[in-house]
Amino acid sequence: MTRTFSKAETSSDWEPQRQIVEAAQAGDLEAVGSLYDAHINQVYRYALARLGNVQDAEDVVSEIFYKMLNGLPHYQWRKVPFAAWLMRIAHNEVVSFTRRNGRHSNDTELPEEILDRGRNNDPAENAERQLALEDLRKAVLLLPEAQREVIILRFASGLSVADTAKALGKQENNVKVLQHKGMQRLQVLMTPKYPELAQKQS
Amino acid sequence: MSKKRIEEMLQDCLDGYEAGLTPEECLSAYNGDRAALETLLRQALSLRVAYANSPSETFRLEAREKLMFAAGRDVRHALASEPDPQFVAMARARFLNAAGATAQEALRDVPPPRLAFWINARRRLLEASTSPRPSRRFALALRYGLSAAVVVIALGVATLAPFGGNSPQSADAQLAVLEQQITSLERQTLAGQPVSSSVLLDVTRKINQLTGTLDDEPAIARAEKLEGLHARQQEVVTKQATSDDPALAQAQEELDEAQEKLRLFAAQVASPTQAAALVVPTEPPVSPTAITTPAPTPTREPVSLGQVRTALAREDTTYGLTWVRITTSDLSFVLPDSWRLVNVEPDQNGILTLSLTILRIDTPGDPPVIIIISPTTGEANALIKGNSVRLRGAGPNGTTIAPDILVAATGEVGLALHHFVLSISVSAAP
Repeated sequence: MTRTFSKAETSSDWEPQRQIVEAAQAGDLEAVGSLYDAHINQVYRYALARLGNVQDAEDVVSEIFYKMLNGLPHYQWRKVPFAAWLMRIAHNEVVSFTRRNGRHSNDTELPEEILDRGRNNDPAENAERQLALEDLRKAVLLLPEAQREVIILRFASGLSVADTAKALGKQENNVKVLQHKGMQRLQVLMTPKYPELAQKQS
Repeated sequence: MSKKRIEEMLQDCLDGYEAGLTPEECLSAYNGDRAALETLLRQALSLRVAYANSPSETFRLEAREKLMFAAGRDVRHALASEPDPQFVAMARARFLNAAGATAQEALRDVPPPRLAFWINARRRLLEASTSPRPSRRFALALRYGLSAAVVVIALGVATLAPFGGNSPQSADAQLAVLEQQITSLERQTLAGQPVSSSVLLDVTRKINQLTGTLDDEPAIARAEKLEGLHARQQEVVTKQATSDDPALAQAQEELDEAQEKLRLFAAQVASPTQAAALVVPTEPPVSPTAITTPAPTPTREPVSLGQVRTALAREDTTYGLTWVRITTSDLSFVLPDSWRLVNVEPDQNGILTLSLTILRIDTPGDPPVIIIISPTTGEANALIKGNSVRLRGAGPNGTTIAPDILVAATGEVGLALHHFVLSISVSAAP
């Protein structure tokens, strides 16, 4: 079938970012700033999703970008896209942080200001929606490590399947399978509290 | 419907959603698989919404600032900034002092040893060698493997110390150097710049040392000069003595001591008997051979190519200014002591050396004039208010600019400029 809406991830699409990365590697500070601006949300969401704590996420995000800075001279565009490379740093840093601090990512204290396109003015409905999203985030934390990693990279950081695969050092098919399994498991975890999900599927 | 297929459909729907389509528009392309796809899409979108949080603006900016700092922005800015001109001037003066440029210049004026000295030194050496217990100084020298010739030379240098009374010319040169140093200190003090207490002490010590050499007739003139320098240095030390620096206290002691010596010397000169003693020249106690041998006339070493010699042009008091004579291998001229030689630096031996093939001179005041002069041909051009002006042509008889043009272009500075131009003397043909 044709990929109706898919974005063509060709080399020409990457060219502007490649130029920025190469400029940053050459010591252009503005380019370093541009990389930060382009990826801060991606990295922050990943860290927050993995750690579930704003303070920890902020600490780790700062560290991730320092690591990015130190690693820039060694980064090679041909091997892996920049976003995937950066998220690999993020993954390693989160793992390192949790080991170092002996924390488990199950204490979700996500901020209230969640952006929601479907938000309306009904306070009761909004509160219900917030609770549902909170439950979903908790459910993600209950997923096996590999599935959780894929789900967070795909839906929190917004990485493509290809970049997720490169960030995790896996095959694309493997990522798709993990994503599919993860989503199926989420449905299972969410169904007892939200039976309408199962009903819709049936 | 394969698993692969539904995953690809989901991906397409997510991409479409990102591109701005509604979920319904996305799903309408897959009516056959709509039921399964809708559940996955809703779940995927819920996940996106669940994690669609952004860092606080404060954190975002702080983290960015730290990152940019780490990337070296501030370091680069710091390195790119220009140092304080006063600091540059002070560091330059200290560097020149440390390099011993002034000392090197002074040593140029030390006359070669007289023959009488060589004979006396030889005699002393022979006496010492025949003595059963050689003096400690010789014993040490010989123990360290110094040859007799080296010992003789060392003795000669020690005897002909630049401040010694036997070498009035070197003492005069020292006075000139001292005056330059005090002038420099005065400028620094006037500009409110701190002066190193060690430099002050060093200069003061030189004054004190020189006052100790006032023991013959030419010393009267030197004493007058020293008295003036002493007063000027006293003023500098007083102005700088704002802290409890022991070096400054020591400098003051040196000044007091020097003043006492000057006072004693003045008293000696005033006394008729002492004055008579000073007027009658006394022969040095040397052997007859030494007396009959004429001392060689002290001559100045010629200036090598690329080197620059500076000396106070004492005879020149034009326009009431203090003029300094600049000499290169082929050229000689005078300029006011406030003008600055830009591209002249002391080399590793402390000899002033040109860093370029031309000599650049900057004048202070308004308008600032930049003079470029060839150190070999004497050709001189000036940059005045952005215009290039030929001051002097090349060669021994190079055409010089008319004074009225210079005065019209630069005002009062024009007179000094014209005197400078007229003073240019080229010794060799270009």
